Amino acid sequence: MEIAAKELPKLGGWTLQMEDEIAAIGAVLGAWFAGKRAMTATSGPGLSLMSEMINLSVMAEIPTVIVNVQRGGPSTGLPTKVEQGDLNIALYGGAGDSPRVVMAPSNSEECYSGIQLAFDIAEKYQTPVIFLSDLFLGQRTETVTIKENIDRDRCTRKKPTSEQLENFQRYQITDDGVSPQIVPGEPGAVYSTTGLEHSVTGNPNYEADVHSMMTAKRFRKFESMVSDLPEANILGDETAEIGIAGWGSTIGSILEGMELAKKQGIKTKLIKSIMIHPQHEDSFRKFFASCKKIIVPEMNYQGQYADLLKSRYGITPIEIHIPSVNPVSPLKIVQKIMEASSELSK
Amino acid sequence: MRYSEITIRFCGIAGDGIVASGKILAGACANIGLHVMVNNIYSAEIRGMGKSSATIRFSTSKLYSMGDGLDLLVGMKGKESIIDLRDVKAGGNVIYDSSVIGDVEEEDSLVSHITPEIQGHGLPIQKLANEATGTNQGKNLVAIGAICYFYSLPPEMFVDQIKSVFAHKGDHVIDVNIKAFNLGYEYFKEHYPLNNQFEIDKIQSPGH
Repeated sequence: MEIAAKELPKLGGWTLQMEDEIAAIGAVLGAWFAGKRAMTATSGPGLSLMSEMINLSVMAEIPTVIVNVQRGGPSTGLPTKVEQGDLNIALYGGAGDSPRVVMAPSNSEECYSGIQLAFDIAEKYQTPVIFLSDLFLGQRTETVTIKENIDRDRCTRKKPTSEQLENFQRYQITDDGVSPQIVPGEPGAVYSTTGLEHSVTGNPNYEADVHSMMTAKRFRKFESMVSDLPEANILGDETAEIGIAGWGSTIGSILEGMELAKKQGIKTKLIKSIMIHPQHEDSFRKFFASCKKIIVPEMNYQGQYADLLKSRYGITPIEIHIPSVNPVSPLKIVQKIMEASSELSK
Repeated sequence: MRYSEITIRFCGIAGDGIVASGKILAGACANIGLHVMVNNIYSAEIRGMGKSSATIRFSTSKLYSMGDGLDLLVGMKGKESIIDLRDVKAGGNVIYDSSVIGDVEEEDSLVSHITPEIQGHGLPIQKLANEATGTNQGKNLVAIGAICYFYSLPPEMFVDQIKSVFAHKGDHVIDVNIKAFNLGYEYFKEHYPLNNQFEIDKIQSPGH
């Protein structure tokens, strides 16, 4: 934040220090509502406090970007230790049907390129994006190769045509779920925005068919945005029968575990995506269909990512749940790979 | 012994320059094209107090994680480093501050906990830092000097990094830190015959 305070003004930006997390997310929503890109960063307890404002972002279709550098929880928990325990709150931590984009970078380079994608998705699809880093990523130093090939025009706001402005519908029903947007004070139209359910004009409306229609519209954006999202990466040996699915900083330990397994003559492959939700589901389905054993390691007690994959793809993986304090040991990964390999050879 | 990858942990308390040690070592390695990953750990309760550690892994090839185990543990304060001995690989090494031996109870002494499968190397860290800087500061540079010799790394990579890191503090600070580095380097050269070689020439696609 101190670096941002120094650097952002040079680019015409601002850094605001707010009194708490609720105020911070409120300021971020206000900035986006006024047509500016903004973000806030927090950890698990802060994300809990932001939950209601994230709901407002969903309902009022105001973009927002929240970085959550996950630490050990719950509550104050382990403030300076790493864990991946906030996936469930990121995915599901909202009242009502409140869809949100969840991304999880796996290394420093993906933090750099991924956060730019997070802003673009938030802006184009008028949605909250929760960017799940973790303490090992947030505090590490790492040599990286930065790719400066960002398409700066890949995502833009949908603006109303002059015809649409004449009878402006801020929440117009569209095929892709995205409605044209103007900022307050922009000439041509006025509209209401609220956390209440609303009609296409933005005025409060509690009719059953309107609620169904608007909920479906808010979810439809998550289908249409898939074409803008990066494909999943498949690494390792494509012919392998042992497949691994991972997320976040655990990916690094998985890759080294796979290298150790390779030295033992065991072939493995990995599917990884910075997109947790939504994601290119066909890639995952094909990958899982090609595996005889699937391993899902992660740094939490419950197996939160494994639960997501089980419910989404109907798989029954071998789960490694590590309620972590330290980054995952590659040896733990290779041990599980070897167990899976010996079961396959029985 | 020849290495193409090394993991080192500095362990101590606030004021020992633990995080700065990691920055200097990692920066120097990255500047010559090595692949580097650093993980800092410190207590949560009060910033500036309690145990802290910096683990630095550097390699001639791409790194994806912190790996498993330590090749070298540097105990800036003995007591706080004892628990970290369990992370040292069999055949690994420990550098302990030999200038404070006798001032601490045996159960609080790092050297008394070193097991036979680990090599212990005494270095009068505090004494040499005092000699170089006239204060307790510079202990981390004494240790880095010793590490430089221990793994046959080129001293220039560290001298350049010290000049860069301390540039904003002026020539005097640069000079005393380079002196601390040299004292650590010379002490190890005198007391521990060279038998380790980090193979810098095997760098694959530079890590920066």
